[in-house]
Amino acid sequence: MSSIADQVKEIIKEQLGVEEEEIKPEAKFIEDLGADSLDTVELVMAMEEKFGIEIPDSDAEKILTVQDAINYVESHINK
Amino acid sequence: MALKKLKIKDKIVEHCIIQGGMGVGVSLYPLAKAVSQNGGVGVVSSVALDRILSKRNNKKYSIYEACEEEIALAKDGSNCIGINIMVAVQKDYEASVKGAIAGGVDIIISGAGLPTELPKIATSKDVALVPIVSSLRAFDIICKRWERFGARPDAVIVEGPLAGGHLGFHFADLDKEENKLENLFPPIKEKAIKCGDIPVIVAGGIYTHEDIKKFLNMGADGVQMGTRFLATFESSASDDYKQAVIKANKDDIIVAYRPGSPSGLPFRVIKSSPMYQDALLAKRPPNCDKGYLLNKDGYCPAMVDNVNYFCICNGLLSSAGYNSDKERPIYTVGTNAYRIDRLLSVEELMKELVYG
Repeated sequence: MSSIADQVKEIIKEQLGVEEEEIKPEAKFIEDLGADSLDTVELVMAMEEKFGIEIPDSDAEKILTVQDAINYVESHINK
Repeated sequence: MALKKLKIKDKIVEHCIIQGGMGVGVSLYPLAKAVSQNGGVGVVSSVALDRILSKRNNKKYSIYEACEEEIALAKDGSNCIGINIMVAVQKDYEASVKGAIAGGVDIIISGAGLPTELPKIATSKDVALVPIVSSLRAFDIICKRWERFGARPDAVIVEGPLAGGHLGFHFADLDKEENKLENLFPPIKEKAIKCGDIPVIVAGGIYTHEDIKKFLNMGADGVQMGTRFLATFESSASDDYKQAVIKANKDDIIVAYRPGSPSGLPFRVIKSSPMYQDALLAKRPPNCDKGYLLNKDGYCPAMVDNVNYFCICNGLLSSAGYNSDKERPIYTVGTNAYRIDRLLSVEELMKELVYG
């Protein structure tokens, strides 16, 4: 099975329609990957569904980069 | 023939017209109360109410206290009163919702962002919750997010690209055929029917009785109108603002974007607005001191960049007659504002809109 990081990147690729090489850990969703406010909420919803976690808005606001998303899922999965 | 009634949750309103919540300081209690007393839904804008009431009464108000008091004033002797609370003004959001509920508000209208957690904050069973969206996609997201709290919208307002204020579209998409209100509305209505016949209110560029009838015939349950109510005696816009609306020609009404609102959303203005002219020349210092519209990195872009952004908070406060030492005014209007040639009373306007 692929790592959490790979699965998160796959979701980002699908949701934002960006190329794999653009999805660098430090890439910001809005500034670097061209996401708008609807995209970012859909991204959070897709992560919730994929990993069976709940991400409140107050946490979602802090998920700004690819690495933030990976870190969040890694620290909340199976809890 | 009169228009139909509007039913949102258990609230029945005589005429299916919602007066748009115009901030900063245009839709205050005198306008909302007059609209409600004339059979529509009167709406107060929550933006910066703390500053407005603090100045009005010469004592310090929190945003909670200000929303509570302004709604109570609007409710006194009237029927259905709403409050418009912008998601973009994050720091005041929760307190504004709770204050308005304490004041007895009937309807909470929320847009300028996705009000994904509104039902978690507004737990009162008596209050109707109404998001404003500019796409089916946004409506879908809100419905899904609200399911987490066992809630669904009590109505939805679909706002098209001809509206005033902030516009929920990418700048490049404003003129697209698919984004015309006539085209945005049908799929949202279809979804609203499937979700349990949620009333759908249309907004953005609606001006006459005939415009209203046209959308009612398409299946809309009501309309929301801002600009027409801005140009009334009861609205709290400054006299200069009202006169600028009366004088504006069609070509004077443009969409400001780079320089534009620090929210990043396109924003419709009268071109000759003093602050907009200053912003075009990059003349105004980036001296925002309000911090209402923070980005994800926690600061307002207008605080650091006076080429791409203007300080919308101080500019709008200035156009409502507050804070004029900080910024010159900026006047926001809907596309059809150039058709206004005089001020009306709310009573005259409602008669014109309801009976044609």
